[in-house]
Amino acid sequence: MINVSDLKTVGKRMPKVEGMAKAKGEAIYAVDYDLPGMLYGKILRSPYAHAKVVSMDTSAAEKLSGVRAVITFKDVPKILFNPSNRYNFPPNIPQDQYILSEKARFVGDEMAAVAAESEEIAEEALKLIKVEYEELPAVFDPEEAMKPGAPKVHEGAENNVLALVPIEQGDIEKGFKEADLILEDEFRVTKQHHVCIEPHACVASYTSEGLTVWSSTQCPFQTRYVTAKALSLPDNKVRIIKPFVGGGFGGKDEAFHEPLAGFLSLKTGRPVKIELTREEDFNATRTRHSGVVRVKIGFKKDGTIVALHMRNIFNAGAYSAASPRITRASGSRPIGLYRLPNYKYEGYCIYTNVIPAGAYRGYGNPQQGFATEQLFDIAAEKLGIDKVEMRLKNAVRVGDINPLTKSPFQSCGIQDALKKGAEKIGWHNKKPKAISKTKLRGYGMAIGAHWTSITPLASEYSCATINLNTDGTINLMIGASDLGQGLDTVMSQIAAEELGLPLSDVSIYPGDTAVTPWDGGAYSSKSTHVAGNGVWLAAKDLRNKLTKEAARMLNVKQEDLVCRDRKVVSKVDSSKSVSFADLISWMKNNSPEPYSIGRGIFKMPTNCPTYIANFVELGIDTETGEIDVLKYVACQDVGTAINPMQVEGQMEGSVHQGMGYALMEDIIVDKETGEVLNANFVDYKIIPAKDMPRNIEAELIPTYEPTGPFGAKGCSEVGLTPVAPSIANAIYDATGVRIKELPMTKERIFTAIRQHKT
Amino acid sequence: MRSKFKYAFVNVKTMKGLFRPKECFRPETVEEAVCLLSKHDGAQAIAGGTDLLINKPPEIEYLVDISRLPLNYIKEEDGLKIGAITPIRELENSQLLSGAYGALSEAARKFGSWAIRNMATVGGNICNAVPSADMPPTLVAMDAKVKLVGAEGTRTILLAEVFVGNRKNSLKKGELLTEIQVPKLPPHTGVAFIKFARTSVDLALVNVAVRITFEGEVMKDVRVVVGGGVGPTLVRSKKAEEILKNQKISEGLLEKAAQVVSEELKPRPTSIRGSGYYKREISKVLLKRAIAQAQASSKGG
Amino acid sequence: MMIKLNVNGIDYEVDVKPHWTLLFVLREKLKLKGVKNGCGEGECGACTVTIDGKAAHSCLILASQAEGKKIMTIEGLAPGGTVHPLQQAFVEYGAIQCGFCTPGMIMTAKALLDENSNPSEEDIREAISGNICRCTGYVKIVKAIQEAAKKMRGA
Repeated sequence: MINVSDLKTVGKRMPKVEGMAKAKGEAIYAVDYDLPGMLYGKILRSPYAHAKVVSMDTSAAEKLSGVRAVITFKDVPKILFNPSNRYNFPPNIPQDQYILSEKARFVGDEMAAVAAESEEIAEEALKLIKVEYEELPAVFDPEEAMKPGAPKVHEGAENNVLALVPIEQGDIEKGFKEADLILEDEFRVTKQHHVCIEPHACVASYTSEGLTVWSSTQCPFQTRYVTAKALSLPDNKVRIIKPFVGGGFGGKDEAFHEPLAGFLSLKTGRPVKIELTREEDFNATRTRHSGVVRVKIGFKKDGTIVALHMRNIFNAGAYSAASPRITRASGSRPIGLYRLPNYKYEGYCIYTNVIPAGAYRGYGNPQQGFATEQLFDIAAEKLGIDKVEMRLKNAVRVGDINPLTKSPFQSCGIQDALKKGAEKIGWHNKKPKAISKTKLRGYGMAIGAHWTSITPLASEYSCATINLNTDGTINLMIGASDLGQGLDTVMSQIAAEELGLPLSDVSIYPGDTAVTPWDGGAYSSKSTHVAGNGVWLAAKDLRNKLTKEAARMLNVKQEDLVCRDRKVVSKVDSSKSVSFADLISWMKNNSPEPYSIGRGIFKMPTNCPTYIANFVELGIDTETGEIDVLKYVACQDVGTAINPMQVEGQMEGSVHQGMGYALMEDIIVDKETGEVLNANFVDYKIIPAKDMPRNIEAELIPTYEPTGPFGAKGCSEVGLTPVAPSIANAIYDATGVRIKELPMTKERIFTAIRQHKT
Repeated sequence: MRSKFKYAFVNVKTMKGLFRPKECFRPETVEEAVCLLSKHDGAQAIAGGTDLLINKPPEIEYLVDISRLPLNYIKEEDGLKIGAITPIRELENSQLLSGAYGALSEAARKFGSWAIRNMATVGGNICNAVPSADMPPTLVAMDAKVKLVGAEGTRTILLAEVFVGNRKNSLKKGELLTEIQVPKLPPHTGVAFIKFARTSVDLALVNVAVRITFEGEVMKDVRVVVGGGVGPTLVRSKKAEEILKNQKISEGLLEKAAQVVSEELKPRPTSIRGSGYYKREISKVLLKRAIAQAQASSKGG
Repeated sequence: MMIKLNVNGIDYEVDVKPHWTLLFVLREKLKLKGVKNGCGEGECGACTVTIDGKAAHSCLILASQAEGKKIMTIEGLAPGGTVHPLQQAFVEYGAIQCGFCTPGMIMTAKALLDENSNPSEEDIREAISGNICRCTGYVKIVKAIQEAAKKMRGA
């Protein structure tokens, strides 16, 4: 175990390596690329939730001056694909999309596309495309879609069931027989949109050398895999470059318009930019899965949990995308958090004619957390046990057997997180309930755990290479993706620490499938651990090569040499040292390998969750249903925090998104037509700065994960999960009203309080 | 909720057609502006643009940019005179809006977001004629009038008469709103404005403006105005005013007035921002709170 | 129509269509890519610039309306390799994550500090409520602005 306080760069609050470029407006995002001869692509979208295309006449659009291509389904390759396909994950998800749709399956489905000399001409061309649709019956609610006789969204999906993903552990029937208290309830969760401030965008350029796409993406290599398949191109002819990305949160986890823009570029012989408007982003990208979470849970009277049976029905929307994986993941969450001897999960994801759902920070965790964490509170109250005690009793500990890997958990800070959080919020020293005549105070808490990577369901691995420069500085190449969460900085810190270099001596070059080595992408909170280890291995490899040559040069033992302050120096005789620059210069004439490249290929051997405990103190105006969060405390175990400032930033950001999910964010779909009714910022509300709590405390609980780089684990998703249940539990504490449907808007709270009074 | 989409592509801005005005005129005088607005069909005045450039109406053929006209002022003259293109930010900060006029600053403070207030204008907020507009309720409660200059001459009408429907104002073709006139408020008058929305940067779900002139403890003269998603236009509740007039404030009285106000509202039963039921209930709460605040304001508090 | 725009101290002559917004002209004609397009409806604030020192959403201004005014974008905040205290503070205090909201956020902060050199936390939160940040939860942004204000006051 490494003593993190001895380290120079790792564990320190380093400013982001690209921070100044962003602060000066120099950072280039996909949408900022202007290539010579570039055309602008626009997409014709279906106004109907479910319709056959009877005829499509593009002749008028083609004739419009400035239009260079108009394409429809008949023009695109007839290759079915799934844009969320992962190369390293078993291919058991439906391949159910074409580049352009042959049939409209949701309002906003992509039916045709135009490439023109300007955005305005492209918009005008869209208006000229004449489409005759035959409207078909549509279904929007997943439980309705499962009924016999419901409209069929895709052939081959019986009762629109896209997938049924079960998980089982122990013996659920036996478990419930042992229970002294059994609770059963149903919770409804809604669609939240990622609202990345940078809308989805890409620029594709197809030349005789192949296809290059600059794309706002989380997973360049997976995007290459999908794009190559959709366009029948070999991998080496498809280059995906990830520039700076303006937020992802799971929303840019899939290939979106890379195949379409690539195809338009192929057809026109010119680069093509596709930039979605905010409205298109809301209407036709992805949302969090909405649906119903039904839970039956059994406890002994001392509060020990004996059985949990969860049945989720998730609304997948019009296309599969990653729905089966997310539905399954939702069911895997409780077994990483609690000691569950008997567990059964049934996850249904259902096709309907609405905007498809996809990956979103938490990946099924927030939905189940809203249910299970409230049920824990209900049980605690019925059994007369303190709610924090209830979690302490049931949460996993170091040494418990990890149900996924069948080996013990080696790091687990949930117990400490609970105790610290309770102390910080004043759980055992609560302030009085009445704030004023109409305002009541409530305290709530909830916990969460998030698996980092999808081991053992898939092989997770990441690679890094380090090129040494003649002056001893390094160029670090990684396939992994920084979307703003701080990955580039953290990776640079790991390399700098291992090689004894200041952070400024490391330049990082990420996310270019032609040049950087493989990484699966930013998902599952795994990058710090998996990509970080890849970088660590590469740095160790380089250190090994350098110390080996330095040992020869200085005539000392290699094992006595360390890398420190841009030098290789003997720890037994500090006069024996050589600067990197001098060593490299010596090597060119004196070493069998005159140049050094560090290589790291890391395969994730385990799956070690990150844990968080959230506590909230809030005030409720009982006359209006308004919530005022007075204090929010989040205590998270990320193993070693390679960069505590970045981790805090992720925790604070999670509180914001979690509060939005809890209190107001909701993609509203019209029950008659299936269209999104609030596809803009006036109607879809995000919490503004002046409504955020003034007092958010993000506290790091130090643990050490032996398999992680310098003891680190993943971080970024789990913070969102306990926010909604902690607020729901606090509302109950204040008013005696329990809300089981998201979002908990002012109106919903007001109505619930009114009904409770009568 | 009605379907919006009848065209072969999804984009609220382009579904109706594309915003492609032929020309943008930049008159230097009010007369020039009025002449342009009268002469051209499909001509639309633009000042702050904070509503027009969101909705981008395709029927606009000519833009008449009035942002350079000398209509940006707040002066003390028989009460207050406010130029039509005065940015909301000026109202937020103006020293002239003290005492009972302070409710106008409060309304300005709740308007949109900080940068939007630099751009949006009082005149634009009025002529837009959306029932959730933030400035009109307080102005109507203060019996404000507006000066309209047209090709046929100038007229002055009560602000309340501008609003005839959702996004429908009573201005004639070619007329330009140039000035808002707020009369002097009698002594012992308090005005309160409360806005209720989903967040602090949102269109009003319900906003309430109340103006009370006190004689001792008795409410001699009352105005009650409710805006928000409460119907096609804001609602001035004369019924509630009658209940409150010549009475002293009491819980029972406020309850009665609140009930009456909520019944006068005509919100749609369901909408994105909130149900009709919720809006009615909130209007009751806001009315009671606004009356208490108006009382405090009348005492200089 | 030919208009003259003064952006970051430089005079440009641009031929614009009547409906072109300032945002469109800044990004597509003057190639100032630091000004970002996040929504086109004046809600996200990513397009914020200052006009005669006041914060404004460039997506809701016609390019022609900006003639004769002094426009500043993020590129003009600290030209010639210098760094503005706000930029320094944003980097130092971790107020930047994905960075897409950052130019607009910094321009709003600049307009605030130029008007009020000692803003309270409430003043800061009020000013930045027209800038949506999806990454940070605003905690470190508020801190960075407070620290920059201190530095600029010489405190």
